[in-house]
Amino acid sequence: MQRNTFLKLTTALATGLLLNAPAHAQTTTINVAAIADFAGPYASVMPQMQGGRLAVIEWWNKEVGSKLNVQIAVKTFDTRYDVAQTASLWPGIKAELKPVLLLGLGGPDAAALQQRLPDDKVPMLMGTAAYGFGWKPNQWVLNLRPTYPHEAAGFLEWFRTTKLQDKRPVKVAIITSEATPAYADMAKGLQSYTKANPDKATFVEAIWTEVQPTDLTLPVRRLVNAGTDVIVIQTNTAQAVAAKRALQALGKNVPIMLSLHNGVVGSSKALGDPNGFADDFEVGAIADATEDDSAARKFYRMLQEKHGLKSGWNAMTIMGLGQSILAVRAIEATLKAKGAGKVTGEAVRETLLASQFTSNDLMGVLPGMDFSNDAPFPTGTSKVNIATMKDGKVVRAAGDVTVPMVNKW
Amino acid sequence: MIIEFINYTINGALLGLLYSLVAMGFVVIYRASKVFNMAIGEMIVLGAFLLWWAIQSRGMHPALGIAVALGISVLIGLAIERLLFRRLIGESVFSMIMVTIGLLILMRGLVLVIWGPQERQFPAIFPLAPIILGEMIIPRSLAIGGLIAVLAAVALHWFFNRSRTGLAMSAVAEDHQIALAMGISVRRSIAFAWALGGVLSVITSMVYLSGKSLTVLSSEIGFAALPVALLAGLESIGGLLLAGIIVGVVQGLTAAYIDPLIGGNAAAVVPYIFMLVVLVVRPTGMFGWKRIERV
Amino acid sequence: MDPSGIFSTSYARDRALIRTRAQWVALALFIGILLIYPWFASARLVAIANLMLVTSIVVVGLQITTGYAGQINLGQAAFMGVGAYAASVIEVKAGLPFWVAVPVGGLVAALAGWLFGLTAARIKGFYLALTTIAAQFIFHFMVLNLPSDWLGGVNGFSLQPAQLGAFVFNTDRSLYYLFLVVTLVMVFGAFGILRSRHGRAFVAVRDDDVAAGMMGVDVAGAKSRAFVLGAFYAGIGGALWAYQVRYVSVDQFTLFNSIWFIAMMIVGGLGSLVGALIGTVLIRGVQETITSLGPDLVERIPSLSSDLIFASMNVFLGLIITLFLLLEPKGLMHRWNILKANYRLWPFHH
Repeated sequence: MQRNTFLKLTTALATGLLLNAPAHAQTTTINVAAIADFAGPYASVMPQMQGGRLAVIEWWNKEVGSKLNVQIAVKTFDTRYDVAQTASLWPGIKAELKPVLLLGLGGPDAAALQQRLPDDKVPMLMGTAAYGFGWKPNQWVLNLRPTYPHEAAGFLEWFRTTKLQDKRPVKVAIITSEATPAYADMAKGLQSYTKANPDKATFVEAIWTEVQPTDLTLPVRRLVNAGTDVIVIQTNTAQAVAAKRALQALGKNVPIMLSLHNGVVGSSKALGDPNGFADDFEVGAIADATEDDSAARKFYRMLQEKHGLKSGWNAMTIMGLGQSILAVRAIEATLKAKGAGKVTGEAVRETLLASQFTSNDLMGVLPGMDFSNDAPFPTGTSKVNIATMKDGKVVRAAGDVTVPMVNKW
Repeated sequence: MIIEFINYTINGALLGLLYSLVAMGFVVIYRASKVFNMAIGEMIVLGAFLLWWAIQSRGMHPALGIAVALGISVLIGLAIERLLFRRLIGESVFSMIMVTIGLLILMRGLVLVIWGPQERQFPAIFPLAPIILGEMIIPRSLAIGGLIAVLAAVALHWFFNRSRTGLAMSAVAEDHQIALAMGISVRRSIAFAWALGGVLSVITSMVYLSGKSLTVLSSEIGFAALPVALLAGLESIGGLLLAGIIVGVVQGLTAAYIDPLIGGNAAAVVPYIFMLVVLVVRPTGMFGWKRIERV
Repeated sequence: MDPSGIFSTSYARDRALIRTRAQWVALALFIGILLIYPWFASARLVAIANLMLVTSIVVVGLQITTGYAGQINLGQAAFMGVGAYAASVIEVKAGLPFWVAVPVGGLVAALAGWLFGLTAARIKGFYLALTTIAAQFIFHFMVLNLPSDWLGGVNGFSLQPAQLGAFVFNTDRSLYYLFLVVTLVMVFGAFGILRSRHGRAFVAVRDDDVAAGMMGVDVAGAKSRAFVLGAFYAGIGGALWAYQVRYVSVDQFTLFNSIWFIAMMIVGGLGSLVGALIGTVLIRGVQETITSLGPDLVERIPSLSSDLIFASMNVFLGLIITLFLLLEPKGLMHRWNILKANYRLWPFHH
């Protein structure tokens, strides 16, 4: 409904402008910079994400932008997931491209630019979940999704209320690594949540292992013996595979909760069994990758048919879609509020903080966006989608599950 | 409780034997050519990718796939010797280390370009079912790997210390120029060392990754195994077994009992601290050659 | 060697670093260009220059420890991290200004260097290289596991920009001048140290430490000093890095960073201070060129997918380094010196 009125308004505006404007209409170009990693640890998933990002911008330019005489131009930069590279690249990007928005990738971009962007006045949108160390007020680095412990908490609450008979606290363990602070942060946040909510969850243990573990049989046995209900693995596929092998060796079946970048499909593929992670879960505060005909799926199909989207229907592409759709909607709203000439980074951030985008605006990819100044992620609207696997396909287990309150740790 | 402790100790020892297998690739190259191969982790990843390509991608039977991978890795080892190290005979320690560092960067990049960064399934060459002794669970691939490590160490120890060719190669490890002066072909020695290193890399990757997933980041194990090489002393192959078992057990017990206490990954750092302590007491490792320095 | 016609008639002249009037002029010109660089360089080039300046301080330190004193040091990034964290703690917890934080960062790193230097007295060659790798892992572990109040733990530190009185260093240009001044001071300091008896002691220890000991050089002390100096430089570099990026986190100082520093030193030339600077500029320059060219190449050759191009770029870099090591293991400075000597001796061969 909002979109129809919006379209009507834009058409009216455009007509009005056309009638009053001089003979030729100027197309304003708005620049957006995209940060990518084609040679570092995220190189395997980059093409999918990039495909999603670019297709949405293509779509917006054709469907909405052309009517507003605005085109969004995207330029991609490879930072190899390296802080120094990002830090040295950014001033050039800022000076030459003058972007109003950055589509970020992960930890190093946030680290390198966190302190600079408030001075440079360009907001950055991240498609991955947030980290605890980014949880500060007045941020210009904004995450579409809340933190990893938030998403885990959402899942754990759902698991407790639906899968446990007497709704007792969930016994949760986490397997992670100290290789990067980001991974270590996942355990810290989860532990803090369980400490603050002893009625909802109990923390069994954090298993610290390598990024590529050799053997997890004995540590996992410790978890099983302690009666763990859920094992959380939000780091990478290698750890998921090692944990699954350990469970198979022990002959036990404890559900594993994965995140989207190491989801059920990717992990099953690495395991070599297309149905390997059946009865495990992948959780994220963004559209899930099920085959159901959700609004996001329809959007994806439309992009596929009409706008040359080649990436598959998976979590990475969805993250790219989410990033871009929020970006274009924010730019759109800023255009509406301030006019084509006044779309600056500062204005876009203001829009992001002040507006509330609904799920419809965001084509069902995100559950709505509602930023505030105290956290760099949506505190109000977070809802997670929980998917599992059956017969080698991703199926939805639960949608729009509320995320409980998680305090800063 | 006791049974658990024994289980942790045994598994730690087996993990340590895996490290000594990795370190063996390193020591063999050093023992026959006086080159410190920093790129040992990348060689293991390369060997793993060859195995993956042969068995998963080409669908060969595992035995055939292993043979093919071994053959190709021997060729690669020989190529590395021909292209890189032939020129460096007689050069300083620095140059050797730095060339292998350059090799490390190069190999990492090549693996990325040829095979891409996706996580891949690594074939389960050893059966997945663990060995169960009463209440103890022992991963089968690690157990078989431990056996392989012991056999390889014994064979290589005999070769380098008792056989003619091996002793000649040990001379190369002492001093290239003197070995040349004595009529030992340094080139052939280095070529053999790298070929053998390639073979060991393939075998190590089999034990390390059997049934798990493979990506370019798997090369981290190279750095994890270096303390073992140093603890044993860089020239000692037999000593690797003991050093491996010590490091593995220390690491395993730390991971089992101390990590949960402190909520951090002490197990990763403990091998290094242990190595530091031993090196201060015995600067050339437990069984390394004591070099007599002459002016 | 000197051009023909130049003779030294005093010890001071013989020891001088700058030997002819032409060299003075060249130096003055070079420093002049460095001073006016931000005025004609684009914003990106200034940012790249900032990074190069900070890195070159670290690599100069590494050159002192490894190139001049022969102590292989694969943990330079860890010392840089120690400096960065020390400076951050001073800035964030004690609220002291940057001109206290940076030197303190250097000193704390020097202390860490001294600790590892203690082992160097006993442990040699490759074994020493590995104890320095241990420094990396120990640094990583300690930062992540000590209480967050002490060293930031998982959260790292966010810093305010450097301030001198009322002037705030928060633009690339102002940072450039700050870094330039510090780099010039540190590099001249290094030249001075290396010309003195300490520098000669370093070279003696590198060439043959047993013989040096017999000649009366304090070998253990020299090795220790080499580590302390190298770590001090790394610490200063790290502290400056902290003020440039303004967010320190333990994954900015990994073993791979150490390896890259060594590569820069090798490409420039082992045992040459100028070589350290050249190596840094060259490798960083190639990295940046690759990053800049990448997007354009992707646009112009759409048939090659972007991931192939970017990955190939990194192979290219590794290839350069390996080729360098094969064809000219003594680095660029060696080539340059040969060229200079040939030029001066022409038409004679030697």
